[in-house]
This record gives sequence, structure tokens and C-alpha cells, in this order.
Amino acid sequence: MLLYTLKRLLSAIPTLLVVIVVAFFMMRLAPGGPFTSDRSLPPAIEANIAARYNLDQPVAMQFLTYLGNVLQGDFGPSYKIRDFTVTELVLQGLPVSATIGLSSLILAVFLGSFLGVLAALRQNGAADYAVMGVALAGITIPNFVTAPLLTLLFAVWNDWLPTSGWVGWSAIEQQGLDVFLKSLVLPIITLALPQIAIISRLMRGSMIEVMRSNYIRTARAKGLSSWQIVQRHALRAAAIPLVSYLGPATAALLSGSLVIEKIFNLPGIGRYFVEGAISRDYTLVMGVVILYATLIVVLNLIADLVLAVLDPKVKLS
Amino acid sequence: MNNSARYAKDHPSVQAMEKAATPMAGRSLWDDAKRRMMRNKAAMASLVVLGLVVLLAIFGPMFAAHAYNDIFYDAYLAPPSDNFWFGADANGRDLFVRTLIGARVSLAVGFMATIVSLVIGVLWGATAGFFGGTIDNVMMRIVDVLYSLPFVFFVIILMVVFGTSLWIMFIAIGAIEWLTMARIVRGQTLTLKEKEFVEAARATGVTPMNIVRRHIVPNLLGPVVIYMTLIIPYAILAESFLSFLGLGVQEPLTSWGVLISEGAQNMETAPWLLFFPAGFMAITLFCFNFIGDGLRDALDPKDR
Repeated sequence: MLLYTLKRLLSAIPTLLVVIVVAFFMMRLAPGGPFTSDRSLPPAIEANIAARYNLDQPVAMQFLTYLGNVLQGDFGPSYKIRDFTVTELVLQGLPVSATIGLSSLILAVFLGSFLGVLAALRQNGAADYAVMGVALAGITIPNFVTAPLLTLLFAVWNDWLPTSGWVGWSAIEQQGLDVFLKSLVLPIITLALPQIAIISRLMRGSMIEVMRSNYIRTARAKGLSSWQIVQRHALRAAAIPLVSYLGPATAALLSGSLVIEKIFNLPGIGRYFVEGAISRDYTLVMGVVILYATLIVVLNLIADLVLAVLDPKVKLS
Repeated sequence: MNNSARYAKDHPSVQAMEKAATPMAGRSLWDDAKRRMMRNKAAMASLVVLGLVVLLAIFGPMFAAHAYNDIFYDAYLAPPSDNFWFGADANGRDLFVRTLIGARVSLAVGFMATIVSLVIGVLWGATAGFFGGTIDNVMMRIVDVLYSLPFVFFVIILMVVFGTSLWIMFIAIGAIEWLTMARIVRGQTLTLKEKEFVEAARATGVTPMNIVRRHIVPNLLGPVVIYMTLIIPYAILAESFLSFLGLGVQEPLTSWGVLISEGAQNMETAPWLLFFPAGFMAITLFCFNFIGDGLRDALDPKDR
């Protein structure tokens, strides 16, 4: 297992390298640079700025310098947001994105698998149709539609929740825990909805299949109750497709957060990325892309390791 | 042994089988699929609704009372009325026409991006599956690496790099969706290559070209068509997603994503600006989902 983990981490290096190369050169292809503006600056000043950020060197040299710096953990200064390094900005945005993203993931996994199991046990019953109908809606309707609709319903027409904004962990003492939690409800739910839908469908399918297998029949013949069968025997086997979906789910949550952070005005990493890409903030965009690619690689690895623990048929090699 | 049944073809049961088989017209995979599809009410209703949306998108703007970029200064955020069926947006433009123009753009991106992903995916997957060995390994390894990339981010960078033209959008979105298509096609080609009926065809001297034409392609078509109906809504969503972030279609042209984004900004004073485009988009996506499910049930021989 340790050897396998090491091997996987080693094989992640070329993947990350591809990410860095592609993102770096694509950004440089974009017309205009971080310091082009409507106001034309004297050539001497432009040359000075370019020299300060190594932009006067050939692109290949710039790339090697950048790669060298990244390997030493230095992601450079942001080109647009003055006096901040990329690391500082990412560390500012990360708690926001992580709070929303992780809560959504946990909510989606638990609620999604609960609903899926419920639908599977009541196959073709009312509960099944209800869950699957809602799941279909959750998959079909994107979160940039559900987010404004839910805001309209819960924050504009009824004054139950705030429309947008981030309270922050540090403001809990000042403003109270309920204000903090209320500000999180809408972003977390809208981000989680499509994943709840997908996971419940996935769980329903695999649960139905597992419940038909022989060892479940044996368990039932032994006289175990439905609930005990699910809990002790079926859940573990049925969770296997769910675990292998967790990698893609994380990727989906990350890209979903781009929209959610914009709608709910949250100062997370996704916003930095979109704004950075538009304003040609090369280093900031690179930093966020590297972070997200690393996250996806690591989470896929974790998913595979958990899979190996759950499923004795899977051999790590 | 009975003398009259010296040869297998003379055996009574075979004769009975032949007798029973002759009046029945040959039913191909596609005839079967069509019958099953026609029985699926949700899928057929979706086909009708989707057809209406497509017709409206194509012909609606030609007959509408206003042009999509006509500005009526006195109609700022006007509610739905006889003159403006869906109301007017924050610039005083007719939302009905704009929703239909948005439908044009969104559907066009959906279809075109799907064609792009189809071409790349089928070529890539079929090549890998057909040649096998090292070529297969290398090609599929590339797909694996691309799978683990945060693709949305590259599309966003791509849109920034090349500007926001519709063509770039087709290619950028098609370029995300081809990976799964390539995997499906490769898997199908691999299994089909080893199937008995292909071996039988080869043994009876059918040329490789004809094997591909008569046996591989028709069997490949099912999964590809099913997956296509699943890609189209994804492409529509991707376009709306980009437009929502301000990276997609630019003014005065519009798409559902742009309209939803504008609607969300004005939802407190004029919620209909959100409801109409969102409703159109949701209905379209539902239709594609039902059609996709229907096609899968109709074409997937495993579920018979």
C-alpha cells in the first residue's frame, strides 16, 4: 500500500507538469499582459515594470524561472493585486472555498447515499419515485439557476437567510454563530444539490444490485432485519461506486464553486481564478490551477486507496 | 433414424422453423429500437417538446414583433404584457425574442460542440481500439492524464486567450467532452473485434471494410448516439456556465446563460427576467435527458 501510494504520487508529477506547461503557455498566448492599460506609460517605465517581473525575457526563460520558483514553494507576487503574493491570496481564499466545498461534499455524500438507499429499499414505491424525480431535477437544473431561485425564495421574498456575503470564521465571536451559519446555508445547499442528485442515483443503482446478491439472501434467511442487513452487509459493497465517484465529484464541486462564489459574493479561490484570468494575472491563475490540479490528483488517490480497503477484489498495483 | 430426416435441413423442427420464419419480416436492431422508443411516452413527449423549442428558436425571431437588439426606452424592466410577452430587460429589450435568440445560440453550441467531441472521440477511440497494443496504451494514457486535469479552468483560459467567439466556444467545449466518447468507442471496438459474429464474418470471407461497415459501425452507433444525447445538454450547460461568468457570448447577442445571469441581477424587481430563460433551459435539458434515457433503453441490447 505504501509502495503503491508512492508510485501514484510519482506518476502525478508528469500530470502536474503537463498542467503547469499548458496553463503557463496558454496564459502567455493571451493578447495583452497584466500591465497593459488604457493609459499609455512612458516606454522607460514599461521597460522597468517588465524587467521587475522578468517579462522582458524570452518566454522559455520565464517558464524555467517560474518552474524553479514553484519547486521552491515560491508562487511569485500577484501581478494585479498589489503587495500580495499568490500564496497569501490563496491562503486568504482557501478557508472560504474549503468551508463551502467540504461542507457540500459531506452533505452530498451523506444525504445522497441516504436518499439512494431509501429509494433502493422502496424500489418502485412512492419514496423511490419522489427521490428519483428530485434527483432528475437536481441533475438537470444547473446551480446558476437554483442559486438565484433559492435566494429569491429564502432571502428576498422571505427574510430567513442573507442573500450573499461571507461572515468568516474570525467574526463568529463578534456576530454570533447563527449569523455565520446562516450565511453558509444557501451556498452549501446550491453547491451540493447536483451532487446529492448524482450520488443518490448512483447509490440506488448499486444498492438494488447488492440487495439481489446471494449473501444478502443468506443474511435475510438468518433472520436479520432489513436495517441490520443494510448496515452490516449491503452498505459496504454498495458504497464502492460512490467511492470511485468521489474524485470526479470533487472536481465538479471545484468548478461549481466558481459560480457559487460569484453569485453569493464569497471571497474564495474560484473568484480569484476568474478575475485573474480576465485581468491576465499570470501568477495568480497559475497558482490556483496548480492548487486545484494537486487537489484532484490527491483526492483521486485517496478514493482509490479507500476503494482497495472496501473492495477485496481491487488489487493495488 | 427416420429416412426423411437424413439431412438437418429436412428435420421437421427445422422445416417448422423455416415456415414460421418466412412470413416474418426481418427485424433489425434499429427496427426493434424504434418500436421500443415509440412506446416510451416520456421520450416521445420530450421529442415533440424539443422539436417545438428548436422550431421556435429557428423561426420565432423572424416573426416576432421586435428585433432582439431593439431598445425601447419606456419599457425598462417592463412586466409581461401584450406587447412584450415575456417582459423587457434592463435595457428595454423584448425578452421573448431574446430568449429565442438565446435558444438559437445555446442549441447551436450544444449541437456543434457535440459534433466536435464526436469527431475527435470516435477517431481517437476507434484508432486506439482497432490497433491495440502500444498505440492503444499511449493514446489511452493521454486520455487518463487529460481526465485528471481541471478542464473547466483550461476552457476559461482558452476563452480568455482567443476571445469569446462562438467558434472557439464550439471547439473548447467539444474538447472537454470528447474524452468519455473516446473511452466508450474504444471499449466497444475492443469487444466487438473479438465477437463471434465478427469472427464468423471473417471466416466466411467478408472483407475487413465490409466487416467494419456492416458489423462494427452499426454496433458502435448505439452507444455513440446515446452518449451524444447526453453530451448535448452538458455542452449547453457548459456554454451557459461560461456565459454566466461573463466569458461566453457577448452583447448584444445572447444565450440562456447570459439571460439567466442578467435575470439573477434583476430578480428582486423583475423576477420574470429569471423565470423565462431558466424555464426554457430547464425544459430543454429535461427533454434531452428523457430522450437520452429512452434511447438507452431502446438501443442497449443488455436490458432486453
